Amino acid sequence: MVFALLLVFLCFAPSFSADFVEYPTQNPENPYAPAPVIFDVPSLLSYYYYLDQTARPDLYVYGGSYWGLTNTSSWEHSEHAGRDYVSWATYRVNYQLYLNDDTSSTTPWKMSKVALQVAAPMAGTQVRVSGFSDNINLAVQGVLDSNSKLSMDVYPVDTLFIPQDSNTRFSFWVDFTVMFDPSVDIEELVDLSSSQSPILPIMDPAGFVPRLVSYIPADSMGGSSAAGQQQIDQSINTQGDKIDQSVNQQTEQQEQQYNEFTESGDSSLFDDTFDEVHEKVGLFTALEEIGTTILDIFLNFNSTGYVTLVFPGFALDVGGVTYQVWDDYEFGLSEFFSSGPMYFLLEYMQMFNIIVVYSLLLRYLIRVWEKIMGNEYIYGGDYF
Amino acid sequence: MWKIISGFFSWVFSPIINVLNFPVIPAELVEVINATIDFIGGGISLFDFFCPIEAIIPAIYMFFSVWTVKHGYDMVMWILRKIPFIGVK
Repeated sequence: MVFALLLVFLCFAPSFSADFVEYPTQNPENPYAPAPVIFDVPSLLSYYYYLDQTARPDLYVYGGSYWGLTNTSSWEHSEHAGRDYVSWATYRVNYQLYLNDDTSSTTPWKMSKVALQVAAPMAGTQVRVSGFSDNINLAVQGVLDSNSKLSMDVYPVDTLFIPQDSNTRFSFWVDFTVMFDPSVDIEELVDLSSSQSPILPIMDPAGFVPRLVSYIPADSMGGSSAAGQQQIDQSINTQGDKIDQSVNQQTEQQEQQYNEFTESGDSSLFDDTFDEVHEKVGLFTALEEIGTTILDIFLNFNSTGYVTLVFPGFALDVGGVTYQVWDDYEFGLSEFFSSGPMYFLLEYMQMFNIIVVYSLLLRYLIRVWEKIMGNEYIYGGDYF
Repeated sequence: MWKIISGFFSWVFSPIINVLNFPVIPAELVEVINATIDFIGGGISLFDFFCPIEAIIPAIYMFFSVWTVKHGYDMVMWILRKIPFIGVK
């Protein structure tokens, strides 16, 4: 029966791993941070993308490298159109945005995370988003260098951006890869009726909706970056102080109620005896305390979703001089299993372990049932 | 109220407990137990990564519920069997 359950879960396991992009609901490092504010799509002025032509030599972009919001990328190849298999293609999407669609706004703002939402991937396609990191490739349009190119720079997250002039736009780019199911013929993916050239509907801009999360509200900031940052910190501290104050009030109230409850019929004779006996039978109460402590670790565990293995460093002390052979090495387990085939491997491992735990529980329940009701009800009786 | 009841029973049984004189837990053993609990607390994230605790918590609750009921029943029946005139076997 366990193997049957295992097979059933393995068959349905891939359906649990459909989402490749996860949006954080709360900043684990700072629970008092403002709730994530997601840009609406109209905030975007425009965005365009181009297909990396070096990624697949026989895949051509029709009509140029860049495409507007309303255009649909298309591809053509005299020999392969409609008959070839396309395994994957790399895209770079460029975004330009105004803050809240306000072209004259000069209020400072910052974004701490960029995510890409894939609204409705086509059947037979998968989208792997890569290139996200702690840095956001962001450039301010309008600042030209000596070569008349946009000055591009990589800014760390939580950088505060202040539009110096009105009509200042921000642009950033995201690299991602679209994976196509090898078992699906490209002919099934290509819409031959809408254009003279075959079109890959997966490249329709409506399918990719950029979103910025953890955006700091601009209304509460001042005119300068220092003042704006100060106001942000102040608002976070104020919010944290209010929560601390509330928790302290609740704790004091509970302690007061407990003291009133216990002191109502207090007897020093009973108290002294209780403490004395509690100390004498500490061997037995310790067992209960150990069990409760270990159980609390499991039941009150809050998963952060980030696991890092830290391999300790090694140093040799020779003649009073310490030689560091190797330093601590941190291995990001979550990042290692975050993409590629390892992601599916982790899904299967988790599913398998859950099945093992529940099968052990089932086995235990059957054993208890047999001990109470007798073996004939489970094995070898009239029921089976 | 609970402390008063506990205190009363402690007062009743304290002479017996004083006669039995249970051993005190050695400090070294307490240290080892605390270190073990710290290890468990430190490794729980790794365990959760491969076996999500959120998914198996219902199993933990069910196991301890059944375990408590079963062993409570066994203990009560063991005591009842010691009383001859009740006739429980």
